[in-house]
This record gives sequence, C-alpha cells and structure tokens, in this order.
Amino acid sequence: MVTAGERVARRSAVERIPRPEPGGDGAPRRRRGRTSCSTRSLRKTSEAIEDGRHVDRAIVAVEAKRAAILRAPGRVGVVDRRHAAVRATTGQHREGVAVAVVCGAVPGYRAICTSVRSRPWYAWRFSASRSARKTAQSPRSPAGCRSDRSRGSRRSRTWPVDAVSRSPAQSRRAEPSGGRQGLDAIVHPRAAGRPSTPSRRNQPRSPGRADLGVRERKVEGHAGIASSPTGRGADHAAPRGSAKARHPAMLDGDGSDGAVWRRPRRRGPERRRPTPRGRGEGAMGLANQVAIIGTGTIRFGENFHQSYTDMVYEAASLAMADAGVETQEIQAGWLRDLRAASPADTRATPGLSSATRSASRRSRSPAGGGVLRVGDGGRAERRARGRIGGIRRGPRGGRREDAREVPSRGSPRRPGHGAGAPCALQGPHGPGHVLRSLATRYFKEYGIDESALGAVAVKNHWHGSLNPNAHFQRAITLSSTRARRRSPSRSASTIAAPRPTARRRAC
Amino acid sequence: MRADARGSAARRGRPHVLIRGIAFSVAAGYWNTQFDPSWSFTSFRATREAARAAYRMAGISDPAREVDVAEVHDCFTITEIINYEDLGLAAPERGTSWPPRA
Repeated sequence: MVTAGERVARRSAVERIPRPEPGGDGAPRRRRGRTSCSTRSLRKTSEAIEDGRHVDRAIVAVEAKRAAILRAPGRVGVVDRRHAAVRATTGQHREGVAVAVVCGAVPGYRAICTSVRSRPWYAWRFSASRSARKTAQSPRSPAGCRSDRSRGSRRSRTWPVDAVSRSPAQSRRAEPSGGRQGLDAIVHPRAAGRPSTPSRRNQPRSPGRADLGVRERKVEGHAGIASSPTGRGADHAAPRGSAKARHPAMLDGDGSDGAVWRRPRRRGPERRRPTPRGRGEGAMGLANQVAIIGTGTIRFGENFHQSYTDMVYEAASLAMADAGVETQEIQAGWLRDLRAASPADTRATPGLSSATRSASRRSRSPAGGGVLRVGDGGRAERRARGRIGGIRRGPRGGRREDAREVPSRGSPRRPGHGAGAPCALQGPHGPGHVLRSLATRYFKEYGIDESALGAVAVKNHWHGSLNPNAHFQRAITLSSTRARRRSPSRSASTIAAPRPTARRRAC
Repeated sequence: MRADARGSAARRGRPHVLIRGIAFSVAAGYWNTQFDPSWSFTSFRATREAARAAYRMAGISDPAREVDVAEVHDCFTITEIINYEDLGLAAPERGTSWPPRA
C-alpha cells in the first residue's frame, strides 16, 4: 500500500527533474508547459508538442491498450496523432512494448527517434514543419540558437545523423553553418557509428542547390525573411491557421524565387527492414544468460488454511532458501499470475516489497533499476511502469491498490470474476467443457478411445507418489482407473467440469 | 545473473540449470476459436511456435532424443497428450504412445 508520505515523496521527486539549463545566449528559461499524465490528455500533449511547448511528461499509449507513464528529461518523442499514440524511445525499447517518453519538445528542438519501430515520417513531419517554422518565426533565433541551447550537452550522446529531410527553412539554417548543425535529426540505432548518408528522396524535389544558394544569400541579407515560414516573403504566406500554414511544405511555388518545395510522400525517409522477432539467437536475451539456482514449491492441495499471499510468501521463501540468497540480494522480480499481477504478489515476495518502494523513489529514468512487475494485463504493466518512472497512478485515476485475495470456497465472490478471467469462461464455456471437446475431437480424428487417457493418468500419479508436495501421492494402475470410471461415484471427484444440471440440459 | 549465469551459479557452489532457450508465443485458438477458424482442436499453435523458437535457440534438432526431462502442462489429460505432439516429443497422432514404455 502506498502511503501518503510516499506519494508526497514521489511527487517531490517528480518536481526535481533536472532540466536543461538556459544557454549562454541569455535566453530566459523556457516556460514550463503542460504536464499530461492521463489518456484523455494525450491529444493535448500532442498539440502541445506541435505548438512547441515543453512537455514534461506524457502518457504513452501503444497498441491502443497499453500505456506507460515515463519521464526522461532530455529525451524527445515523436507524436503519432493519427493513431493517438506516442512512439518514442528511451534506449530500453523493446518491440511491442510501450516504452516511450515525450519530453523537451521546444521550438526548434530536434526530433530524435531511436526506435526502429517508430515512424520516421512523423519525425520528419515534426522537424520539417513545426520546428522549422517556429525557429524561422523566432525573432532572436535566425540560426536556431534556441535549438542549440536546447541541445546542450545531449548532442554528444546522440548518434550521427542518418536520414535528414530538409525544408527550405532548414536548409537556410543548415547551409551557412556547414552541414547539419541546423537540421533536425532522425537517428536510428543502426545508424550509430555509421557515416550519415542523406537519402535522395529526402531532398527537395524542385529546387536545386543553386536555388538554395540564392535563398541563402537572401536570408543573410534580408532580415524580414522570418515573416514567412517558407521564406518566400509575405506575399506568399498562407492565411494564419490554414492547412497550408500548418504545413508550409504544402505551399506551391510559383517560381518567383525558384523555390518550389512540395510536401514529400508520407513514406519515411528511409525504409528499414523490420527487426526479426523470435528468430535465431538473441531473439530473447535470456538464453545462456540465466540459470535457475533455486526453486520453491508449496504443497499442492486445497490449502484453505492459507491465503494467496501466504502461499506466494511461502513459495518465495523456499526458493530463496534453496538458492541460498538473502532478500537483500534480490534485485528484480518478474511476478506472474493467472490474474493480473496484483500488489499482493509484490508484498508477499520477501524483499520485493521494500525494493519496489525504494526503487520508485530512486529511479530517475525508465532505464533505472527496480522491480518490474509484469502480469498478463495492461493494468499491471501500467502500474509497474508507473512505479519505475516514479509515478504511481492508477488507470484513469482509479484505485491505486486492487489487491485481491483468492476467496475461499463458499465465498459469495466468484474467483474468476473481475480478477483477470473473463466471465465468459463460465458454464459451458469453461475450461472443462472446452478441453473436453479437444479430447472428443482427438479421439474421433485419430481413432482412439479413452483408454489412452488412463495411461497418462497412471504415469502422473506415479510421479506424484515421488513428490512430497503433490496433491495425489498414491500410485494407481490402469485397471484401477477403468474400475473407477465404472464407479457411479466418479462424478464426485470431478472438480473442474461440473455435471450439467437438468436446467442446463433443457437449455 | 545475466552477465555470467553459469559462473555465478558455480561460484555459489550450488547446482543450477542453465536456460539455453526460452520462447513465448501467443496465438488464437483455445477459447478464442472465433479468431482462428482453421484450428483443428487437436493442436495448440502457440505451443508449436514457441517450441520451435526455443529449440532453435538451444540448438536442439531432435527433441525426442535430446531432451531428458520434460514437464508439460497437464491441466487435463488430453492437454498433455497434445503437448507431446506440439513440443515435438511425439509425432502427430502418436502422443498417446509417448513416452515409450519399456
């Protein structure tokens, strides 16, 4: 349970996020912009980014179901407005997992994308339209000084520029400084350590380099160029608020200054092969790097004397004793349950509860250490990532703790209801009925009878006789199973597949 | 443990099991049959795919011969038989005759 003091401490930790210091140009500190921490504010977040406001934190929704609240000062995100998702990276990106952060989106800032899964088009769009226009409109940054201030020392940590798309405004800033100092960078991991190779597709189509050179001279000699986003003078400026104003690249040139720059296709500046998933060595990084040094198993059975928490605690204690490790040596936990991972799992596991709380205070970045609780539900993932990010927030501001104990038999609470298992898995759609259809199909398909099941049961019971923690510890024979099947009392031993009642038969 | 699992376990002087291959797979089927009309009710596609990936990582080409111990999911007896086949321990239609009895 998160206490009020811990919440205050985490909130204080959020407030202490290190921010880029203003540069030496005397520019004032940026106004702190909107902080978005909920799904409903995702739209506002994307708008804020496109408007150039600083976004401290952002909700990240990937795959339309998972969300993560992360924060990493100095990282830049890419907004995918079409899919209402934010795709960005923090260096710990894994495919299919919500790892994203949006931060530091200021006018003229660089859109840095370190994700192979992100869409370069959005990075390009962000860099080519908004940031360029904002920078050009800024009266004190004709050469993107605010960008330089914003980059600061972080630029040394980025990869070399790989794919670059230039708008006329960007080119004006880029050419005089020699190279890509004024360009927005779209950086990919595969580009690390590789010389940059601008793609021909990203180059402006109609204007040539000579035209850009002319425009460059205009920029240097005509200060009023900043009045137009495209650098074509006030006569060609689109109405404020129009689509063309929002996307200056859509403006059609009339050849007055030789610059006709059309909006490129939506396709990204460079096609990349998808990362292989589940193929070959390294698809999952645990191979040959993880060893099991201890296990713990409680006694199976109808443990009415124990709660779910008690069972988890006992099993975890046995595993640690078997491994010979202390609770202080536990660094991380991967807790999984048929239900969504509940806080009860963390509390019950020795060492993980305190580690979680300390990690939530200590971590300053999503890559920081801590306990990652992973369940099979997006809710658990959100909560886990929220812990790592130092932000503890339930979905839609809901309940912070939803620890559930497994109700005992006879409890009015149904075990499967609301705890991860859909209600559809009841009655004729339950496991027993579904898997019974598998047996029926298997028998009919391959021409065997139920005697094949008896052999498996005999084997399993023999294994159980060797296991002190097994529920059934009495070996059986094939003849006994056949005799049991003929017994009229066999239905009493059926647990998972109740016999249909007369009412159900009627239905 | 990630840096040198075997060495770390050996330094502790305790027996250990090194994970050579691990894979996960999710597929339609089982309860969600409406998403996979081709499901034959005699196999689990997710099990087959995960086993294929794990064997590739571990360098196992013939699991029936190279795997010494297997603990399969057996929520119901028929599930265990099907898992024998999906894991490659037994040929299709031969799950009931595995493991070979002396």
